[in-house]
Amino acid sequence: MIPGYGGNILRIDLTGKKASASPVPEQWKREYLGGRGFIARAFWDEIKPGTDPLGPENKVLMAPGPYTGQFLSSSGKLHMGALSPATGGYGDSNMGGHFSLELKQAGIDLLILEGAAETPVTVVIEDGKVTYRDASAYWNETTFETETRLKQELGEAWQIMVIGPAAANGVVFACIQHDFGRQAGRTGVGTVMASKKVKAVAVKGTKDVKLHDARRTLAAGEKMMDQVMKQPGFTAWQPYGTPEVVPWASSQGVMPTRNFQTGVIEGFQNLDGPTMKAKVTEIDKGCTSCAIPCGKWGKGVLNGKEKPQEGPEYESIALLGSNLGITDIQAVAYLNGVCDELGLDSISAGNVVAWSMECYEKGFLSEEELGRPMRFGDAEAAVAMFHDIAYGRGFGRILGQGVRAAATHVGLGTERFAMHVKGLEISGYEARYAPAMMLSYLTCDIGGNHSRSWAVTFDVATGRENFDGKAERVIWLQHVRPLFDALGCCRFPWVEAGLDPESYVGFIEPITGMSFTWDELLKVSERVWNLTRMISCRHIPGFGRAFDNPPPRWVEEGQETGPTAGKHFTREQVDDLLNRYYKLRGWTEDGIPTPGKLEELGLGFCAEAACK
Amino acid sequence: MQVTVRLEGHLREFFPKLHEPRTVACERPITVAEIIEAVGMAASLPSSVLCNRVRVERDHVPADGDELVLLSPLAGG
Ligand code: SF4
Repeated sequence: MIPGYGGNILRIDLTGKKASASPVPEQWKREYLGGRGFIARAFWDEIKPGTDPLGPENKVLMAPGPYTGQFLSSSGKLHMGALSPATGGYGDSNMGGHFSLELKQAGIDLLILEGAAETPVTVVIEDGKVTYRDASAYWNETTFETETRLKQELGEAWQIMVIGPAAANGVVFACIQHDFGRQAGRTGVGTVMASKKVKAVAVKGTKDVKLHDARRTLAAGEKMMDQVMKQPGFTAWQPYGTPEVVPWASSQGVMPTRNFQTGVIEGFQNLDGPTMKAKVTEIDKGCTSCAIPCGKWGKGVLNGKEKPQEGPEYESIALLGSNLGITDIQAVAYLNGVCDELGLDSISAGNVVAWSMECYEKGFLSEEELGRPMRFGDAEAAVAMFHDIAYGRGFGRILGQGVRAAATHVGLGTERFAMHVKGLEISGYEARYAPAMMLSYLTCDIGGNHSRSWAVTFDVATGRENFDGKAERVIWLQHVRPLFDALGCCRFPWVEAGLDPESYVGFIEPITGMSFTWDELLKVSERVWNLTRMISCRHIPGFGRAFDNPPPRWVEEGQETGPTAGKHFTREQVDDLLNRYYKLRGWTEDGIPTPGKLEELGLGFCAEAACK
Repeated sequence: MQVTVRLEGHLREFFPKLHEPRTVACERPITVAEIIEAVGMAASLPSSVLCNRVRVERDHVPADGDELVLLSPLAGG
């Protein structure tokens, strides 16, 4: 058996309350590595066309990677996947904390939750042995309440993930929460977990993970820890975490503001890292074996009310701060705490509430329809609306179906400023005049998310009006960044502290005994990228270019203010960008991987599913 | 006077000629912004600048022998 892995796929059938373990195919380790790679591969086999995202036939998949917990810095990442109730296509999300290592030490490389329990349960996994606890009494509890309860019942040594009321009430962008503030936030994986009546999963693992060469793994890990802490980027960035980028984002006009009407927020200084450190942060908080750590634990404050929470990190500051017209970091932290306890993805929640504020201010929705005036800058109104969303009350029930569905419901042209791609709300970068970043969003396999390719700096450095090299850069990033999700570690030591990404090659052989060059690792990533594209082809009727569309706002109007005020690309220019991208990828003009491309990547088994 | 300029993160990829630290010689003391422009980059492109490992603003004037590190913006989580 290839070392460096827990060894097993654990399948839990919630309908029959049965669990079974089987070994991970050795070929999967070579061809997909783990984490996101295993999720994509298992997704193809397990979730069949025609599946209802909220039906028992959908599955929640969770996978650590070979690097998880293996001495290298920042190796506590867990990848999760499911058919997304938000987009109808491939969905996944990544979460830090300590669950991933615990799962691996329980001997599990892939956890499959399938079927649906009749009544709410907490799934308890101890070294691969599965038991169930009745969760009916706390089904609608907040995430923090349930995690505290289970920590008290089971003990501190257990790692726990929970859903909140948002998931229990069918909000399509509900997340899974762990370690009081780490989220698998995107694509509604929490909603799918709730559809199976699973309130929480608790895991404890005490098994050793056998390594190919433990001494060399340890030596490489120590060297890396040392390197990370000596990086100048570490010195500058660590005290603040991701909010460090706020001033830069606003000065470049890429900070979404008032529902992406512009990219510059007056008063951004009140949202930056030093202000957060002074007004919110109490202690640092990190994932397994992290030398950095980027998490900041502290208190949000709104009108004298306090809320302990982790963060906010940059995305939450952008979506719950500038995008709602709020420039008080304590209020943003409070909103972040509300989203976390309700189990709402703060990106999608900030996006849909911003859309409702624009609808209100422009007269498309009234106070009566919304339940209250919804003005930009009104944090109390946002708090009230988050609760309405999470508990399915009033207009909150409509917003809880995502901005695409809400805009379709309201009509009246509000679709023009519904900021999503493929049904997933766009995250924290205003990209209408940043071609590589826009292309990153349009082609991201889960919809409007930044995590696969973040290319704003490239746009600024190489000229925003210039298209040359943009598709190449996006593709390179789409292979490098998700590679970390397959390996089960965090990319911050690379993207934030400045380590050479290719240095990660040095761990694969000591951990697993498998030899890979950097280019071979990138080939794995390309394989996974094409596979996730084929999964959406298989599940979304007519999937292709038409789904790689920007929101109309991005091709019809310029920003109100800032360095690129008034500027935007046309639909024809966006088509040009997509043409370049598809050609480089070896896809058809409609954006579908060709049978030849699939064969080349060892994905011949999905060629028949090419979109009709 | 001479100031050493080092790039970190993605900036090193975008400006391969500055992959190795560059020494900038100037006849009079100049600001960080002017030094960044002297190595061929828009002064607004780096997210932060460290002078001898301490964060400084663009209007800071380094002394002879100082080392500037130009940091790339955080790369999107
Ligand atoms: S850098 Fe942050 S997200 Fe990454 S492992 Fe460390 S604490 Fe977790």
